[in-house]
Amino acid sequence: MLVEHLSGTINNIRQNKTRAFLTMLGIIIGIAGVIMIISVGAGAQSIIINQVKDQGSNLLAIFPGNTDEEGPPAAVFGITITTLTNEDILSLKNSKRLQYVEDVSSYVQGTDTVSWKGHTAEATFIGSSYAVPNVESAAVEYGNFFTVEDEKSLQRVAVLGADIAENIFGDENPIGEKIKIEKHNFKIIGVMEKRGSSGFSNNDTNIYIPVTTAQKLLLGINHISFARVKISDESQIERTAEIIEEILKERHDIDIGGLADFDVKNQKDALDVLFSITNAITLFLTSIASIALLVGSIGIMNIMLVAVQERIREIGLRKAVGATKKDIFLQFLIETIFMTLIAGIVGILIGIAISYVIAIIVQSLNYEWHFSISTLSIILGAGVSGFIGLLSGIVPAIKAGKLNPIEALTYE
Amino acid sequence: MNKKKNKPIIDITDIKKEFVNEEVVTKVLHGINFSIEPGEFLAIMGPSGSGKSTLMHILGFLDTPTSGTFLFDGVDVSKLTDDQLAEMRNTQIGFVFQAFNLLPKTSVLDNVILPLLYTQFSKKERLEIAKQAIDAVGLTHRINNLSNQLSGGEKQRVAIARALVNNPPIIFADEPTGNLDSKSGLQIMQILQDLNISQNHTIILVTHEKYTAEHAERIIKLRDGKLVSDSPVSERVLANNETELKK
Ligand SMILES: Nc1ncnc2c1ncn2[C@@H]1O[C@H](COP(=O)(O)OP(=O)(O)OP(=O)(O)O)[C@@H](O)[C@H]1O
Ligand SMILES: [Mg+2]
Repeated sequence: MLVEHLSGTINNIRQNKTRAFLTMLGIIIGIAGVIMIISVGAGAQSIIINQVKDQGSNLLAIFPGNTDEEGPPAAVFGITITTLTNEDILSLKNSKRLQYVEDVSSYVQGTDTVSWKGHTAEATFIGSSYAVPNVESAAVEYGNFFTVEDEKSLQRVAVLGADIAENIFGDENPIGEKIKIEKHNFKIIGVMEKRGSSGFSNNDTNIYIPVTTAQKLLLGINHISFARVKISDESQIERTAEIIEEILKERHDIDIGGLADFDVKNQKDALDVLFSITNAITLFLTSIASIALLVGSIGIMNIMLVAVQERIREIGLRKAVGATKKDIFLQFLIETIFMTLIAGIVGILIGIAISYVIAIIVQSLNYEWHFSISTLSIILGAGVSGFIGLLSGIVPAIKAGKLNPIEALTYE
Repeated sequence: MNKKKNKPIIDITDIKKEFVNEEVVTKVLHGINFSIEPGEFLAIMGPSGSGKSTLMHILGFLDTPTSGTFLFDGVDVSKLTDDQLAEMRNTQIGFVFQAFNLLPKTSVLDNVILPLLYTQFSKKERLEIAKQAIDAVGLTHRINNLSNQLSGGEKQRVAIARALVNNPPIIFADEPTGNLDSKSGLQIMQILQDLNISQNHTIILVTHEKYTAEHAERIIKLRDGKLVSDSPVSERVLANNETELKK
């Protein structure tokens, strides 16, 4: 019986090629679209996350300002908080309690006009510790990075990022040249290796100068923007963060239970923030996909409803020659399940294939794009389209079920 | 006329039918009474709109009367369940619709085989039976043509083949020769008359033509939804003799 219904189904679909094709196309596009959009969302998320991970998972960052478990530090919103100093950070390096701290670096930054022999450019200068090459795992290509002595004696020396070195000096060797930042001459002692962009910032356009020089000479401040702490044993990162918090609270005369005026974040915290952003993007994409799916589904419904008249007449005829309600319902159920199933499978395959092709293309452009297909997207796409497909197939059967054969045969 | 002593297969009393479309009530049948015995060949005549098709639909279990009783073989049809009605349509009657009602974009074979899909016959038997029915209406050469590729007369013959395919004891034919030339019409009448005379099938035929009606044994006339005459045919036309004559 079932086999007969199925062969009848195939006949029926053959006889109504256009309708079957359009319906199936609607389902295919709906499912493939959802899978693709969500996969692309996840891929884009993986690019961002991977870039953050590249910076090393053995770093702690310390920001001035209140601890807030949720969301980014206050500095992100452009609020200047002066509670963290270079001395705070240096104290961490020398503390006996922090045996896993390998190196530390304070940072301040500013943007100013940089000039050399008539070339001028707006550039970001980073006041940092001599420890930057170690902390950031960044190598110096020519010359040297500045030393602890340079830092202590507020030397006017600078190390250029690879891009800015090329922008200002082109093919010429910058080592030993003097550039002007604001009104002050800085001697160039090194050029960094090209690092590429990381997260949202490009390190290759930075000019590194000693943090002390930047604070006193260029910015006239005592506080720092943030600091990085490199941990020698990754497994100790959480514990180390706790001890740093205790030490800094002591230095700032804050009770152990009190609210800190700084914030120690490990990379997981940073990732969590990023995840909360990218998850929001994924959610947004998912809702767009859902709308697309809904529109597609309405399309399917429309096609099916146009066909209802024809189908109801067919049902009328089948009833007139002896089909029972059950026969009719079974036929329509099998027909729509068959069509929806095939369309669903094709849709899923196409969705995966397109997502895969996109992943291959993006990966070939040297991005760390992670190809993934979420089960949720398959369930969502297949569920909604399948449901609408089934519904639109069964509606005529239910409608016609209430009519006698003549009413169905003359249905308009 | 010794048949008339039999118990009627169809017996209707005061059958009324009205259609209600958006508050507009159309009264079509105004209380019809008659009975048909097994093996009878009855013709129904009457002007267009007099309610012939409506009556046929009711007798063929395709539509329900607004009031009145319809006994089929002594059983009150209004008491039958949906599934019993489906079974009746499948096994007791064959219906040739005035408007053919073929499945669109479907082959002659698939159209004719349709009633057999709801029987216990095997696939092979169905095919065999359907081919015979198609042969009986002379359409073997069109067996794989789609219904929309057929002429009006060919469509009508497909509709007849479909009505015959289940070999039902009662056949309703709503103007089965309406679209046919006299020779093809004659063929159809020959088939129907043969079913009636040699196989004792009950035939109920609607026609406008007096001559076609005279192939039956009895003629009922409707006017404005009322039965206006019910009389036996005095000189029945025999389709076989005509073919002899024409040869
Ligand atoms: N569903 C319906 N709704 C309203 N009126 C209907 C409906 N079906 C039929 N009628 C009306 O009932 C009347 C009888 O129709 P019917 O088809 O029985 O006539 P008929 O005798 O078969 O005519 P013809 O010889 O033209 O086929 C007509 O006036 C028709 O308009
Ligand atoms: Mg009619």
